Amino acid sequence: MRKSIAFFVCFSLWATPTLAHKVVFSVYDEGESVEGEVGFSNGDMAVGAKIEIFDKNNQKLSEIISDEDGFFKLPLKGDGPFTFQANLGAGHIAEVVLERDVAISAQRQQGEVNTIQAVIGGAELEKIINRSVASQIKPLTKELAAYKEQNDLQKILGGLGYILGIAGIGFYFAARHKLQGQSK
Amino acid sequence: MHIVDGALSGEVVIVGSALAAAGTAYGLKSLDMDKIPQAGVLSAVFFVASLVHVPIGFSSVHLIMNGLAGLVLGWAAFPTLLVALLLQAVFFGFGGLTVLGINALNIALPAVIIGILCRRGVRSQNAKIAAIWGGVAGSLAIAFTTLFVALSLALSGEEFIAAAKLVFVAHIPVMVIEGLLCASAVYLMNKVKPELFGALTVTAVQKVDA
Repeated sequence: MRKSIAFFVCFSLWATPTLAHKVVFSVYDEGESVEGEVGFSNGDMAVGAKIEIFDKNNQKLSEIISDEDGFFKLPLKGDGPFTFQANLGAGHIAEVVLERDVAISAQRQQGEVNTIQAVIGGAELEKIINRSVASQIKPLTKELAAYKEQNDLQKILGGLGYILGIAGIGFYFAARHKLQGQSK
Repeated sequence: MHIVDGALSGEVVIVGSALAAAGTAYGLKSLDMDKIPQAGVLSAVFFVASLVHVPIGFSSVHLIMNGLAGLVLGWAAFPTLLVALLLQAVFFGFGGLTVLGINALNIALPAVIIGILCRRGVRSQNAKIAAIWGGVAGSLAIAFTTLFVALSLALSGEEFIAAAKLVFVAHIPVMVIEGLLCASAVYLMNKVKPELFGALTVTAVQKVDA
């Protein structure tokens, strides 16, 4: 009995690293359809993962298999909330809830399109979108640049580690030199 | 204090690298086993001190601590500071790989000069006198370094007086801080471990005994 417990403990410990990845699962509402992607936190995409979709009453609506990029797309009409469950095997599961209210979103969308088209032409609109996107990603690019420039603790510790290592190599040669001197 | 890639002319970079290589070779010879730990610690000090860093024009201002390295290590300051400079260039992007030699020369040669000039002073029995010498060493090492940096810039075509003034003035706060730091470090070492500054003579005596 004790042996089998030990065996079990060993195996559960051994299995831990494979469970260490987090599942990254995102779903985007496209109005009449839904697309999404699923993968692991280390950057690998989940190929051929089964994604099941449930409605608000927990009734299964449909299921789909992700493609080789971990991507999936399916038509999905009606009111939400919809629950997406991805099972990637080996204990990797993830769940995302997509809120959707058809009446409200349709109203809002139509309203937006009407106003925009009434007020500005196509070229002007493109300019505005470009400007808006540029201003939105500005803080991101700044943050990215700052992140690249950052001298964090890891770098400092890394440098100190190198110095320690070089000192060790120095010791090695000094000691060898000394020993050779003694043997003569 | 690190000059960046591309700020100097090719000749200056090449001559600087050659001189730095010579200094490093000579320094490695003088770096015996007893001194390796000190070299490692001072290399680490230099490496971390440079993170207190304010960019100014082509160069940049930060703590350097080369005076202390010169006092303790003498010529061994060359390989010690070269290692730290290399790591700074790789990890932090300070200076650059092509100007590594000239940067090492500009920082380690003042350290060596200071070591020769001030070592007698910091060996003083009186800890206060030793500390004053330490302070002088710390500040003077920075002053010499600014002079060398200005000289490198001048040899690459900038006007010496202007460059020297700019670099020197920018480093006055660093001189003050390093003078104080170096003085307190020397005071402490003088109290706790006076043989640090006499490492050379102690080993020389040991060798004679052996």
